[in-house]
Amino acid sequence: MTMRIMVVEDDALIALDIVSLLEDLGHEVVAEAADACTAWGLAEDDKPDLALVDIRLAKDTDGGKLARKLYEELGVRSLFVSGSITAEFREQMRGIEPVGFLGKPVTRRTLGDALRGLH
Amino acid sequence: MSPGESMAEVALTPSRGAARERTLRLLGVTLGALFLAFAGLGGVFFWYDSASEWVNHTREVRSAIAEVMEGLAEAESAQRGLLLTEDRRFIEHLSQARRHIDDDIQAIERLTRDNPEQQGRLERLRALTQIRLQVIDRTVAMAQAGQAREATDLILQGQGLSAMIDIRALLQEFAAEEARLDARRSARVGEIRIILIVALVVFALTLAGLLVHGLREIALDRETEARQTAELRKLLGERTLLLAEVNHRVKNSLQQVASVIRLQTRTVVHEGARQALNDALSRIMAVGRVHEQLYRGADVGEFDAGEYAAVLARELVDSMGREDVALELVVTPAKLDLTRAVPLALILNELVTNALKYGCLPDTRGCIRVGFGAVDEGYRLSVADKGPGVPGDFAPESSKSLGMRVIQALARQLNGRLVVEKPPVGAEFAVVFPKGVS
Repeated sequence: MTMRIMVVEDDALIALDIVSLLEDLGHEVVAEAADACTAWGLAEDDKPDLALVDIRLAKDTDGGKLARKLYEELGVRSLFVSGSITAEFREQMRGIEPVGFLGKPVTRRTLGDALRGLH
Repeated sequence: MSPGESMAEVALTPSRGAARERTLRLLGVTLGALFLAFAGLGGVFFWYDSASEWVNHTREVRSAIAEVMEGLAEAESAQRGLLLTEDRRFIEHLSQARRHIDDDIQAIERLTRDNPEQQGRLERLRALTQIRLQVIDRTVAMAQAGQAREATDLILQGQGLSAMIDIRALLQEFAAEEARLDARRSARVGEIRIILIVALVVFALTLAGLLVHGLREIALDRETEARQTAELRKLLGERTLLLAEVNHRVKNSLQQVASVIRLQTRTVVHEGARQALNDALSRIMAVGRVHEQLYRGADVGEFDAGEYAAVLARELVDSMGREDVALELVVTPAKLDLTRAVPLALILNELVTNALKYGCLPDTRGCIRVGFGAVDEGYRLSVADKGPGVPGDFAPESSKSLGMRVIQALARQLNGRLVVEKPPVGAEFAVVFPKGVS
């Protein structure tokens, strides 16, 4: 099932790759942002079905806080993608129903598995 | 703060070693000072004791002199009693007085042996006493013989009286000398007593000073310890953060490399080239998984190769999306040096990829068995499949496939070798390598 997804990732190349992977998987990427503030502005306008969020973002912003705000104010759930996902972070995010936590490097397979079964 | 700076800071703080050394030195000085002070105090005390002894000695001499005088008075009194009453009991009194006088003179002789002047006086005293007692003896003898008149005459001659006057003068001289000595020695004792008190006060002050100094040293030492502990804790925290940061960056960098290759793959039309890029991607992913597994573990220097092989094999099969393939794991735990983790993981990646590609053809229910355990020669990592098997003339050394060349190169890195088994069904590839690192 096609979803409207927002990608929040500060590394341009990785973002490009993830967007391509998502499109390959049949989803629509409605917004892309490198930092939490831009991401919040875009999310308010575009109302995505799901946000794919890196934990460390540009301009020293925090993907965890962004995800919490997205969930609490817009009801948008997040799929976290990061090089380091600690047990502590998983615990902190438990209340906002994250779609999942994906460790880098991401493969087509792991991304597809994480998104499967969502609608 | 950068790690370099914090290292420098720790190095600059006074080390615990130096503080310990200072404390030990202080202890040495304290013990030395205590010993010397004790010795000094002991010396002064003995000095005081012997000076007091001399004062007592003088007083004994003075008392013996008084006794001699008393003895003579007793003798005279006995003589008078006898002459007046003619009672024989006075003879007994007289001989008692004489014994007293003898004892006392002997005592004086003994006590004044150190003083030649007094010894000289004693000689004269003895002579005079002799004269006095002889006169008394003679009068007593006359009185007993009934010659009371002659006895009175003898007394009236005044020989005994003049001896007695001399004795009195002599004993006064004697007593005056002893009184002088007594005064001198008492003054000495007083001086020594003051010295003793001063020494005691100095000793107490020194002790108090050392105690205060020692307590301050201990407080300083504690402070240093606390500060260093805090610094080390901070440093450890920084290091932990740094390690997490490096770990994060490694994985991010691998993601960047993987992303670039994946993006590149999209631009390639040629199927062979696409496949080559996909193979490269899968090898990069293998490195990523190794990293993930290794840095998740608690041990830094070692890893459990059995568990590691099982986890990696499972991830590998999952990542290929081959739900049709059953994975059988036959692994035993074995702690290996961390340097062997990456080659082992890459070998496993190649062997499993190979088995999935050639041993588990699509639409056939394939089965892969991954094994790891100790054998006679060392350790053996194996991957077996139930596919069509390898051609009869297959020799890995002459294979042109990159996978085979990679496996053999990595096996050599482990000082091991690749073994190709040809079981009745399927194929088995194994890498055998020695236990020790060389």
